[in-house]
Amino acid sequence: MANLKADQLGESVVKEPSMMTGAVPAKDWMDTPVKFKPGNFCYPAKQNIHEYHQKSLSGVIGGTPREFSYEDDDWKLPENWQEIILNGLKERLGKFRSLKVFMDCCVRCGACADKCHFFLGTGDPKNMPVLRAELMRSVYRNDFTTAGKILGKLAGGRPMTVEVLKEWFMYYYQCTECRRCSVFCPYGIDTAEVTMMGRELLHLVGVNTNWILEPAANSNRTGNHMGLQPHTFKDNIGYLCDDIEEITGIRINPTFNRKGAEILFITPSADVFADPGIYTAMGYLLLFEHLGLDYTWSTYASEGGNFGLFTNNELMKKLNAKQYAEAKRLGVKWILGGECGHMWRVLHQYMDTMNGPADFLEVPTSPITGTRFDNAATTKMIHISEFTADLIKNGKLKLDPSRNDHRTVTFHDSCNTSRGMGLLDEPRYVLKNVVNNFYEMPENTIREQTFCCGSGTGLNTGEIMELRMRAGLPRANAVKHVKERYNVDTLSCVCAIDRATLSALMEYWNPEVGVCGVSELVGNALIMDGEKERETDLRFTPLAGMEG
Amino acid sequence: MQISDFLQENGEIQDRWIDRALATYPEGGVAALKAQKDRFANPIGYNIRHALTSLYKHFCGTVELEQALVALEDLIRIRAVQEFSPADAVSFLFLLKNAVKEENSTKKTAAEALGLAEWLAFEQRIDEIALRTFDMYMDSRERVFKVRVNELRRGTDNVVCPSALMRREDNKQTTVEPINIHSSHEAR
Repeated sequence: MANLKADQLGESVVKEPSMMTGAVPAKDWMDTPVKFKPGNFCYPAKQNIHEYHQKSLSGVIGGTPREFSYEDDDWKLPENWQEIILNGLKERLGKFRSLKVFMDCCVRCGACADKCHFFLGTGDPKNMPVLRAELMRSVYRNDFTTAGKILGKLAGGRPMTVEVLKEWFMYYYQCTECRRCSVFCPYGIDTAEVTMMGRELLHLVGVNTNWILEPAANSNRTGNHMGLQPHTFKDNIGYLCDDIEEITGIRINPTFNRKGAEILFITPSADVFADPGIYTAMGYLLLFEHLGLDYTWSTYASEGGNFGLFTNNELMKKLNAKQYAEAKRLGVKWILGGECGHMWRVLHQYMDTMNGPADFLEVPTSPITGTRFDNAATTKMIHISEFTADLIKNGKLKLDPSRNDHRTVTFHDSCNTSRGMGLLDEPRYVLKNVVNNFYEMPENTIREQTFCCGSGTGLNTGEIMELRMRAGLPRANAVKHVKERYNVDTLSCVCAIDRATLSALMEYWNPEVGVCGVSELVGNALIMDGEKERETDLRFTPLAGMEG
Repeated sequence: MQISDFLQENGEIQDRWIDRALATYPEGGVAALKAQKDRFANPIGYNIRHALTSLYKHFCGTVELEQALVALEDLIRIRAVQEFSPADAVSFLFLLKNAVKEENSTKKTAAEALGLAEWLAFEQRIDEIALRTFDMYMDSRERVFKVRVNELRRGTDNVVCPSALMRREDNKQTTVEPINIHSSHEAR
């Protein structure tokens, strides 16, 4: 009978194991084990990728390279894995003062609890940032505090067991290190750093994901995530120039690895080789040509992104080092960086102390406007949006925003550029000068409070597509609002990972909305000297009034 | 009594129904999903309240079915990517029957209660909407699979420039190859 079935359904969903993780409710969270099933975890690194990293970073990427699945009971951990984790935690508590403070100072006020997009998309309490950090804090209390050593569980401690390790893997890979929670924390606890430490510790015992380690290996070996060799990198930019010529009538011949150039330009390889990043790259090419900028691309520093950030601080440092090394080799004055998210977290917060000081470079000064970017006085590297906004402010660009009239645009603040470096107004200033139809999403979903795309920190892999869709729900929900209210059809951003992940996110939640970089819209609007009449945008889509 | 009058006179049924639908989420998180009313700060809570309220109003006779179905589809789109089984994803609809039946059983007089014919007609209307939710659920699932396949395809292009992408779109019909999305181990 229908009602009996309904009773059973209602009963089962409340009293049976959690559908999110298999955890059984009505028990203390510490006693609720996680359950791995297809779709809720990333695949482990392939054996050869794991081996490659072990050779190049001994002691950082630990464990035994092996074939296994996280669905297996036995993860084939090293025999002394527990000792490795606890020693690793001890080392990090001593080395990173922030970690020690974050372990001690939380008062469980709950301000962060409903601020995480993973919690808002799953309803799973272990995705509340406070509880996610508690997964590690409980072990810290148990082994590193007097109260915990004596009182154990009574003092909120618990021993490091295989179940705890599995829980760490489940939830430290359901955090994109977006730091939205930290905006609301009265103590400024940066849960992203807790996740970073969680992932570092997991790497010590060989618990990892292929989606992160393979691009990191490619980056280490060939200089970029996609594993593009120099000739391929150069060729593909050549193909973009061919299409630019067809669209605008202007032939651009960019230089590569040119010694003595004033500026080195570095952007994520996805801008050179992935849809829709390529249109953003076409925007860069047009902008630099418009200015007659003395700059060069590099096939060695051919990756702005840095998957080391999602792995381990030592790998991050190693992958980042090539940027200054290349700047030094080429003898440039300063570095200009393209549209990327996590690249800018690394540059803004870590590069200076990891691989600096870059005292062989000069404080970035725009050769066009003379503006000196003292905000980058130590890193010597500025963001393309800062550079472009300054050009517009000084009236140096010839723009026709009506060439973007076939688009109604909103802007997604990337977590890293907004919360990580405070880049809030520059992209908006650029947008308002290159498009006529621009609308903001609701206030509590943009700027410092922006919602993550849901797939950052190396979570943009296909095997967890449903997880990505629910993690991206808060962002997609805000886009849906401006789509319905203002007919927004274009979601712009300044992040290469966003361009990839938001494309998938929109395809599910708001199929009528496309994704683009801000520089693509700049490229559409730029009036180039000697250009032919433009009939299409950079995607060969007819401009407004040119549809016939 | 007519079902529309019964539901209007016993408005607490709607709140009970919403509470039970929220209770399909893991125990420790429900309070937060219930407390935050801002639609952008709490999309799950908002969409549950919005969809269930729209349906309730439909049964009260104040909202058109098509309008209620739009809200329902938004909710199903969410639940289709959360880790519910297909049955659990749409189970909340049937919880309204329970809530109405419980309320009806407390009525002392025939004038206050629903007649058998009214009850059977109401049940049938819910069942008809439930059938529509299966379509919505499957549409969402198929969309996830397409998103996954399309992303995989975007990552396997050898030459990526606008003209090449246009050529790919033109040749789409002939270039689609069978992909077992359940067993493929994607990597860059």
